[in-house]
Amino acid sequence: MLTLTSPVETPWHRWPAGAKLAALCGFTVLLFALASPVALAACLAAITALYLPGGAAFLRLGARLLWPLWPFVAIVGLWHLWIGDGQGGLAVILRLLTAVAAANLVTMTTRLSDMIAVIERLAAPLARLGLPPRTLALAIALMIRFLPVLSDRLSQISESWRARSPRRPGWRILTPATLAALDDADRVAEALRARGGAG
Amino acid sequence: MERSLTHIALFAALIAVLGLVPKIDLMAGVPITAQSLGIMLCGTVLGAKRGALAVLLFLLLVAAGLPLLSGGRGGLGVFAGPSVGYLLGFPVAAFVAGWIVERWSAPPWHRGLRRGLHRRHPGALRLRHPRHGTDARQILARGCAPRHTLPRGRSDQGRPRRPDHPRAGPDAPRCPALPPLTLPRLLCPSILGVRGQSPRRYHPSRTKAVPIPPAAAMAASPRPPAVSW
Repeated sequence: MLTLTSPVETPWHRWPAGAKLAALCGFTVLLFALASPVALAACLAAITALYLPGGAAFLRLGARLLWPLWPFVAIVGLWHLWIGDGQGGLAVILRLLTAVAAANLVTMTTRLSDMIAVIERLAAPLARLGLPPRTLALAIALMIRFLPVLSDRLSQISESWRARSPRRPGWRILTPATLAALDDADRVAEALRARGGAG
Repeated sequence: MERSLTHIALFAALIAVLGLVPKIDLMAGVPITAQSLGIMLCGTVLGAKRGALAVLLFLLLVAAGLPLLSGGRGGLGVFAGPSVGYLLGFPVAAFVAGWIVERWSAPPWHRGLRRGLHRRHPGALRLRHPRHGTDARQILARGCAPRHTLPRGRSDQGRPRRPDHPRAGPDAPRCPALPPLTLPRLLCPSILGVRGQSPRRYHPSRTKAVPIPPAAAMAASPRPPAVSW
């Protein structure tokens, strides 16, 4: 399964996921309390330093995850230059980059199974609202299991479309894909009930 | 319970898979990622509550680190980035879409569609009635709703609807509880171009049961005597 967790082992991989999430929370709150570009630049430098133990490949992966932000950085920068508030613009951009980089760092150093364990622990109080943790775990497992299945199904449908039409499939494959998903869901529900139910 | 659970999980997976499709060109090259289409689909097909839950499950796994958003993005970073508003809007959008479909299943501008659908698949619009429960797939397979699921009593045109049918009694076979049938599921047969033969064609008030004999038999049989008044 393709995840965003980095295969490069860093010291942060050994930290418990809950601690990392709590630290990320506190750090992001701190970021929004800071306003001076100097302090924010120091924060960004600190986060970059946290990336360093992973080596060059780890840094490159982190940079690739930050890349989609460049249009926002450009727009915010140009806008603040336009209204003549370079300091404020710099602060906004630095805060954005730092917050996203820190969050990506947590994602890159936490395995999916650890993250899901934390989610289940956090969702335990929802049992009072009628969502037992076991049901949530089952839903998560089902969804992950059916990602490749539905992906295969979708490519089958678009192949059979191409076999019959010179045009591109476009949005029209959405309907058979939906029906296939509904069909699969019904079958899985029956199988679940036959094996003792989800509750 | 199980059915809701699997519907939610599989539609969350469907949203994710639609994000893996590079992009879908809608209306002469306007790129619309199929993912937002999937969000709306969740709401309209699963209903407001379950649709929103499916989207929430999808976002939960994105936050847990699966690169499922369109363009292969994911992780906690997207929740700290500037486009987080879209993500927060996703479950709301699914809920509102589902709410609209649940509430206004027949808005005024929708009447023509309903009439056409009713002509082609009688009973399809009443599938949500517990007594007439059936499935869009049954309609797909047969080309029409099963006879026993058709509404009894008076039809829209005020004609009686075969109350004497042997399977139309109170002990008519019933389907188990079904997920809410909503607009996309209703539209499926007509989108796929499955032409149903309307059972109303065989309605006794329309067709006097006059079987047409084959041509050979017609030629062989003597002409009926002319009736003199």
